[in-house]
Amino acid sequence: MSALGGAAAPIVVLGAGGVLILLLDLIWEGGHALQRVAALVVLALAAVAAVAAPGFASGFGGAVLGDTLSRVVDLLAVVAAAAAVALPPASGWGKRWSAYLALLLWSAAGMAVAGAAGNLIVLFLGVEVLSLALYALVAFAVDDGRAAEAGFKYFLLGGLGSALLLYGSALVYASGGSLSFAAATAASGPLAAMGLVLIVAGLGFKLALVPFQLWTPDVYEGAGTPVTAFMSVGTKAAAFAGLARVATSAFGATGAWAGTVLVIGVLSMFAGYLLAIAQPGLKRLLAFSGVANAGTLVLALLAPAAWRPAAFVYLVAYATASLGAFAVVSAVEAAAASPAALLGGGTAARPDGMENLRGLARRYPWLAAAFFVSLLSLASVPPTGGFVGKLLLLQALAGADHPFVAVLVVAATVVALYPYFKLAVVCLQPAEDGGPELRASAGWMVVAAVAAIATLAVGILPGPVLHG
Amino acid sequence: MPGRRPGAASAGSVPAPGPQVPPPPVPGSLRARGPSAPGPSGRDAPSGPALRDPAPIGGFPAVLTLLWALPVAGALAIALLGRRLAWLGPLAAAVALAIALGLWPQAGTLSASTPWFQGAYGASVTYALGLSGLSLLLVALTLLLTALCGLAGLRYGGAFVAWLTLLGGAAAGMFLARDLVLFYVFWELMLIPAYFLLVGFGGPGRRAAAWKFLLYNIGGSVALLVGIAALVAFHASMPGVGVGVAGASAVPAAAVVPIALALAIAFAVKTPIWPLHGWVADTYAELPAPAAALVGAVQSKAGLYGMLAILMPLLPGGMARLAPWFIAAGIVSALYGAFCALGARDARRLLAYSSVSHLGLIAAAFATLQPAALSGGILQMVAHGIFTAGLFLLVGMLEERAGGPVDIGALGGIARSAPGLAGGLILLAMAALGLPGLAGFPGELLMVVGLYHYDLWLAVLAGIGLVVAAAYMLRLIQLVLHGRPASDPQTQPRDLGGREKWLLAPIAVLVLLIGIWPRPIPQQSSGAVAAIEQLTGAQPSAASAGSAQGGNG
Repeated sequence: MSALGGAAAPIVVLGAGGVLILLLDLIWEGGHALQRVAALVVLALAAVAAVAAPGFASGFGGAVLGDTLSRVVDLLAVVAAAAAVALPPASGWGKRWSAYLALLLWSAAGMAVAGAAGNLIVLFLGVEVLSLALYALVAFAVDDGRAAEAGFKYFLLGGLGSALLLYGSALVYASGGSLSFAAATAASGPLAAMGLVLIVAGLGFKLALVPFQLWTPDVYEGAGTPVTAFMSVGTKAAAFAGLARVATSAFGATGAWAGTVLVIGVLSMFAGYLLAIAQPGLKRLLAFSGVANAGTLVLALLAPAAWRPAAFVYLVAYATASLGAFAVVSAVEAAAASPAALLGGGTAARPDGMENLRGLARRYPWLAAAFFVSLLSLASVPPTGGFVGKLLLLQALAGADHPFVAVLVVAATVVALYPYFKLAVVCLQPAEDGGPELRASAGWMVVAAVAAIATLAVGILPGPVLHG
Repeated sequence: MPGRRPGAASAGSVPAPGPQVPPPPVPGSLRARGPSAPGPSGRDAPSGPALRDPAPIGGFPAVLTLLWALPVAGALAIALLGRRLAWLGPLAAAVALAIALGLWPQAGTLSASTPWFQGAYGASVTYALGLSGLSLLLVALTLLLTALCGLAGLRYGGAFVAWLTLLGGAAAGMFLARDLVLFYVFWELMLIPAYFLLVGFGGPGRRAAAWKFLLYNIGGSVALLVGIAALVAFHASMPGVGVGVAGASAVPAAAVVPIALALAIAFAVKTPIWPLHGWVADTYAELPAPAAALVGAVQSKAGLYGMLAILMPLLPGGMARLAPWFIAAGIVSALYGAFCALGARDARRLLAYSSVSHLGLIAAAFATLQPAALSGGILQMVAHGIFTAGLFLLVGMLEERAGGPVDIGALGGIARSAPGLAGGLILLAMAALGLPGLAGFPGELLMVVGLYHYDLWLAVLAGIGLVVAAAYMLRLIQLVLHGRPASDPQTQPRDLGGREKWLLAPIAVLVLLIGIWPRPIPQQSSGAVAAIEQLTGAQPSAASAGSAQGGNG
């Protein structure tokens, strides 16, 4: 019971909540509003369970851990799922709305499992649960060819990632006779080394790190925007937690692993920002921004003594800024794809095209302001959370005898300014037709406003995030 | 309210949690001991009673917070409550200015800090503000010009005034910050409103100008971030009150020059100093006149202030190494800017290059580390802020009348139709070229004296710059005000209206006042000058002795 009350409580709440939503649908068919409220209540309960958990808990013989890292992952998964629930769904989802909500909750449960994993097999379970639910979510708009294609692509490459993770775990087991992270540390020899490489590669797929990022832009673009927002935050948080758990026990032993993380992280950072510059669509741009942010984030692991505060603040700031940006993208996309816009000469080919942002600042100044806060945070400009995260990261790297890596991070930040500021400039440009005409929906406004306020709060008062 | 607590005078405002290792034999740190240094055991004690630097005491710096938060709140109020309330911005700045002037006698004794967040390895980032005499001068200048430029910019609408007021608040915060990270936050916060003023309200070439502005300034910010992150990583902290007495910072010898170089690049871009001035002409030409006035008068002081408040006290050794380069670049700026201004046709570009020239001379004067040059440079910072803002506002009024950019060659004979405007322009232009009795003179004189003490030839080169300054300013006056009217008398520009007169009156009064009675400014900045002298004393005086001999021999 102590395990259920402590470390595993959020997982249980999320998993049971998904079942509850499906039951609600059986009892009261078509009660969309009720289901949405129920999902939000479940998420709130999961958040309470995560926050109320004691400082450190461990259940099932150490297989499930409850600590600051798992709590951060829980909260980010819950917040991302809440944003995906609150954002208006793409058209045609109505019939399977309950399934959408249930899959979201189960995917969040998988993230919580991965974040709380105490050994390699639980980590694999968590990654699988979150991935299986996401495969279905990405392809949820079955009528849309691009969504189906994205789902299939994600399934193939994600499956490969999962296989690598499993194979790596098996090799570590074969070498050391145990699946615990500590055993991974103790194990030595070519078998264990191979295993760890495969584990890093498998998690690299989930984190969308170069060179395992190939699926990212297409999947982000093809999936419905709420799903993209959810996966861009939740998957990264969960996979990073897994990598951090492997890294902080395994990398302490052999310095060669630091080299692997360094190369992958630096490559992702630069490739992500450079490729983001050339993207025509907002979702592809944010996909590469996610690649770059994940790369920057894993570099924190190079500072074994100080990675926690830096990574937590960086992750939380990335999550809030990313959700805020996707909320605006979702609004603009819906406006561009609306029948009125299509009659007026809009293009359905790329509803998330950058030119659709034109006139946003004039027509919806507050939405644009929230968008700017997100962009500033992604570009690490104070007084936003992104700046504090980057500052802590630089400090951690400089103090861990990696000043050169810190300089590379700063150089990548310069590159990053271009795509983000370009978006801000497009919002400020006048549009011939007066700008996007948004459907009346509170969802976008609420998500964008909450995300912007949270981003600023992390930047101005980072204390609560820093101290867990 | 924060007050003085002389007993608690431990100079390091950030308690380093690690073991207090004795500092490595850094050349800079040895030089940092003044003649009155109490010896190796007093490493963390303030160096001299005259320069006692009370460590920021615990507690929230409430009064000092008002100085930057009031304008920021004014800007937010305009954004939230509606753009009709644009006058809230100048009002908030004026109230903050009144508070700042009320603190005039207490400058140099006010500082307080409260923990903000915990960085990596236990380095604590604090919310620390302090009001040295130097800070007070620059904060008062900032708030005065924020209020005046806000009033002048009312016709551009609420959003414009909101951004402008935010810029003023951020600049005031930067001059007050006593924590490196906080300084960086305000530094960046200054960039955002300036950028949006440029893209949102600029002239036809604003997009290209905005990119240029952004690229240069972001490059500078990144250099500053690297420098500050390194300083924080080495547990170096900003001095509390008064610029100075940082205690020998714990920066390893090998890192001193790279960090100093990063900071120098950041400060040179912002000022701007040749060869990093590429953004300035386009930005000043495209910004609406009130915004150009504030950016040109206040934001340009950020780089010079950074030299005084961070580079010199924290890295005296690095500053000594970079000083010749600073002096060379500053003198080149002074001459290059002056000659460019001589060739400029657009009045805005003329003022922009004139600023490059003036500010370059100030930077060169600072780098000599001569007391007269430092004192004169600070005086000139204030004076330049006032007359530059006035000139930009006046040119803006001319543009309003001409309906476009002021082409110097195409105008003429304005003195006849607009005597008030002409009088204002003459007064401010004379101040800018350093006419005795006006604001530009005393600072310039002190700087040239300081440069002369350092090296005779520097003073000669500076003198050439001043002669060219007289030439371009007189050319401006002659072509625009005198000569044949460019159009028939009916369409000649009208004279200043009542509101415009009231806007320019404080500037004109200050230009006269500083010219006649400049003493209060050096009095306020004397603490900063003395502290810098003490921290960097040995090296430059030796250099100056040598070069003075060389110059004379």
